[in-house]
Amino acid sequence: MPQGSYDAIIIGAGPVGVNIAKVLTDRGKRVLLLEAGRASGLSYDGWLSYVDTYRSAVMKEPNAPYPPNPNAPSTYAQDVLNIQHKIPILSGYQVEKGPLSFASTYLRSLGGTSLHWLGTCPRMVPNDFRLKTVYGVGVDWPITYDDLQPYYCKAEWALGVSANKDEQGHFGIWFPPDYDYPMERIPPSYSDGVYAEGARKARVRFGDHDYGMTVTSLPQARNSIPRQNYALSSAYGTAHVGERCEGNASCIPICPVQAKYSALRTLGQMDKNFYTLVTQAVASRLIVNENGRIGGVEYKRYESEGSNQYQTGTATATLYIVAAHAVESAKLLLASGAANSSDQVGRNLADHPFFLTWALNPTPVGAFRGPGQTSEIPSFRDGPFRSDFAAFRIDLGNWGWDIATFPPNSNVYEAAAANTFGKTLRRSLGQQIPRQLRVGYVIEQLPEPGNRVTISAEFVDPIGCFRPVIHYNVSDYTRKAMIAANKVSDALFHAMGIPDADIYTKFTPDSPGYMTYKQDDGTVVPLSFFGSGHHMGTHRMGVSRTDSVTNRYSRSWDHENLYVVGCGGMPTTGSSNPTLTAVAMALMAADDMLTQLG
Amino acid sequence: MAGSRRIPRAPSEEARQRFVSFSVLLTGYDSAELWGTGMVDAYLGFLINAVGDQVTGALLAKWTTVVEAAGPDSSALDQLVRDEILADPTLGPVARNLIVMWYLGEWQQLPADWRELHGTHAADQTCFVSPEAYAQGLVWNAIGAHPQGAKMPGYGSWALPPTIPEELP
Amino acid sequence: MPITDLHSLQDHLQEALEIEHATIPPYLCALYSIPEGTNREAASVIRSVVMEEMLHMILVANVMNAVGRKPVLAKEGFIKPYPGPLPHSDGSFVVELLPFSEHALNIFLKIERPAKAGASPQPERFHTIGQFYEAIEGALTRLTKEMGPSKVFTGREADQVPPGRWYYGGGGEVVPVIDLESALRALKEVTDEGEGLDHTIWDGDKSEELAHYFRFAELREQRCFLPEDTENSGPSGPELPVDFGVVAPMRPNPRSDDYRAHPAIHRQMVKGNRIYTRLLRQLQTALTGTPDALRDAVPIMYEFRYQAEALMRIPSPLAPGMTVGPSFEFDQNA
Repeated sequence: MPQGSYDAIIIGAGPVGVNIAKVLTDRGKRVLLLEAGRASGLSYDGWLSYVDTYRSAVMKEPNAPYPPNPNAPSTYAQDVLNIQHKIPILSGYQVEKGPLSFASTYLRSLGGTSLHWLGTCPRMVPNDFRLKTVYGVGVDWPITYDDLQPYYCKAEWALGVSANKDEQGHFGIWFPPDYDYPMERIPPSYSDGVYAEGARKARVRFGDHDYGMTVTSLPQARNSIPRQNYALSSAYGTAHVGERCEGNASCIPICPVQAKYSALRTLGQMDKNFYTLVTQAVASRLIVNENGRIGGVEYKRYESEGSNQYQTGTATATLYIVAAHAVESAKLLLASGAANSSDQVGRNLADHPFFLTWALNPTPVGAFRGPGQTSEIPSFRDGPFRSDFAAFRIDLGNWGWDIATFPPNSNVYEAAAANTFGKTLRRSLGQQIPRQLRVGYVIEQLPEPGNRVTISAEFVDPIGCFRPVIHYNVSDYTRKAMIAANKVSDALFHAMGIPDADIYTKFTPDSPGYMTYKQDDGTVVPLSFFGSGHHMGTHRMGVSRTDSVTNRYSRSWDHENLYVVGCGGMPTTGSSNPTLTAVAMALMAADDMLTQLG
Repeated sequence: MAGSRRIPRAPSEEARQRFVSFSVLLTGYDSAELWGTGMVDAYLGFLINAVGDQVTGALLAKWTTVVEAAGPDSSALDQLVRDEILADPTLGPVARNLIVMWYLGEWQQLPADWRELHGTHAADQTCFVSPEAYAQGLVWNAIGAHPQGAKMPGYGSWALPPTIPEELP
Repeated sequence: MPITDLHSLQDHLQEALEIEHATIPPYLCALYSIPEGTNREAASVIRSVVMEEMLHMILVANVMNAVGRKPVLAKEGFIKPYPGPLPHSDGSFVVELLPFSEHALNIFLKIERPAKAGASPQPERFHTIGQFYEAIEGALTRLTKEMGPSKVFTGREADQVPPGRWYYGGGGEVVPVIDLESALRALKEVTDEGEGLDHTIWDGDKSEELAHYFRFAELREQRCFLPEDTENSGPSGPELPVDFGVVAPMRPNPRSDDYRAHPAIHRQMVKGNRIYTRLLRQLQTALTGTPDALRDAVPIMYEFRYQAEALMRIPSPLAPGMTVGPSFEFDQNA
């Protein structure tokens, strides 16, 4: 059990918590890091055992390598089901009240979701921070792109992002002239070039505007050729492994060589003299003093995952930083009755609904090679249409049809069931699968007060902590974007020379996230979406204590020594994968923490 | 996982050879390629544990019979395999499982009606035979790729034009 | 005969390239005979040595390019026959293609053995590799003094493989060579990593890694060196257990011609040889003016590894209980 008093207690050892810990400990502050999950990945042999678990997993999904932990449960993809007849889904850790299931999962373990993330790190575009002013929808952030920009630079170096900045100036994204990304861009895949040929010619019209498309490299936290002054970090606990991306093509859910950033890397760069890490310690309540300051954090420390026995402890510090992930942080605040004078804690939960289309290219593109995505079409990250429907970022998948149909397994099962064998089987697999194309549309979702995380005494886990109870829906603003995305997809595939007969996108009531949209002419359009693995909005920052949980530094309006940091702080989401932005927000918050600590 | 730590009962050399020659026909890969996966004994051992000695013996005996009957005529052999093995209610599901096992490294639990008729074995669970079996799945070679999370092909390999390994004579 | 002119120096550098390469097939056979997930420590050690041998090839190539000679890798005769002595050595021992074993380790120790204190430089029929390099270093210094640096270092800087870019995953770093000082530094890195810095067991690298000889000694003795150990004391640290029982029983020194009567096996051996030949071709392209071509050498190395591992698993009809293994033969038809 940790001893003594700390300058800061950080709840959650994921990318946000650990990066804050690094800033503080680099300046000699004493930090206690509490992590609910197990101490994953502290030995490379241990890491390889997760890789073996992944290889043996019948269902390969984001949490497949990481065995279930009953005392710090996480949701698995198998638990995410469509809600039928308005009956809530109780099968997994998170309770789905509906009307739609929240489709994303996260991981409670040392390193958090950075163990299983893809590593995609695009910045948000300037208009993402001022949706209300520019487009009349959503809300404005309390900060602008320009305010966050210097922290984006720091976050890109903290996470080790590979990109060429001259390609990244989308919709007003800018960089200081003397700044560069720490590593050169990850080489685009062969199939990116095939998309680019078509994208060049593709056109689509929304309202009064014609839109073209470009293909550009995606910034990603994945080791590539280092630039000057960047000392790249490789796998934790061993030498010379993961110094470059090796093309394992299993980024989600695990990089066997740790070329992809995980918070373990930042932990390995920290001075052990200044922090204490306690794993298997679930923060259960923040103690609020009469004067409104946080006076301590109560936590439950379980010795073993196999038993629900635990010891309760209390730890105290000058500052308290909740960085447990958007859902867990909201849950903790609600359980503590803390930081919620605005009634916004847990509300405005948003994902990036991930809309897929898929097709067969006339010629092989080399599916299943490389990182999950190496390039995107950024052309719809912003635009006048945003007053009508949501912006989206277009991910060009490298893994065939991927989660749309689960190749190559599904192809093999079907072929065997049809008694296809021998050279015929071998040839037919080789003819279809390498031509598979899958495009993913990462779509913005506006903040809605009814999309929320709540708690209920009815739903607790084995050690008596609340399970998250989720209410979730997808508004017309986003559904219309899916229809627009489908139109973009058709334009793109047609420009690539793919006829309708080779476009296989199909949605049925059994499709994940199945829902419909009724158009003006009365036609009902079937839609389907997956989760992007993004959880945002649940403790948003703002300019006023009446409608936000924290100020621009992620500092609670209600408790001056409490910070609530992470993707949950995002008032709107744009279409950029949020981890980079969350780490930038965290580094900005850390500067404020240092000022407070003096 | 079920199967990965089980020590297979040592099959006879004859059974091994029959198993390999049957697998060559089922997979469209030759014996050197199948031996090169290192999975021959693991798969034969798993099969024996999952369906028992009798069914395994019956399958391999039937295979020997159709090989003799077809002689040098390979299309006759294919047809006999269809009619006598794949269409057979006992042998067909097992043979189809072998296709999946070689191509993915995964055993599929046999259909409920098969299990009712022939008895259930504890090893007959849907699972990967082992992490190595996953990595040796033939499908990845057939599509010119590599198993995700194994046999990493190296930095920049995804930028190169795709190749499908050429067919054998 | 000492090296007296530039042409002879260039010839000897080409020979150095062939000597460095000659160690790689034996090391790779040992490495690839270890099934993944077993003997992790030993595999990691051998892999680290292979990476550094590849670095040595790059360092030698940089010196060659700097002194005006293009390295040649993609030709018959570059790959030496196994079993056979190290090229240009005194033939005092024979190098073989073997699975990982004590016998293989004994050969590796001979390959990497440090020169005795005061041993003379040997441009031909060397007893240790270190003595061969000493002859080259001496000649480089002499010729630069006699002819002047501008007559010796005539190469284009653009042909140099730069540091920090293409070599990764192993110890040491690439040295771009533009003059005598950098050339000597490059060659010193080669000898320090192999036999140790100044008769210590360390390779002089910032991270204080053991020289190759002593890494193999750890595996042979199944015990780790401690910082205070020396060449004479041997390793006195914790045990380093090795399980030879799980190693693939490769038949020693395979040749593809051995398997002409077994077409399916022969096809796989030829496939392996063609991949290896493509690798040599890609390296040659990179080391003769297009350093960026090193990027596409890495996927070929991996392709070879998986084919070699497959060959390690195929039972050999020529030797019951043994497996086929890769033969590392140059194939003109690749």
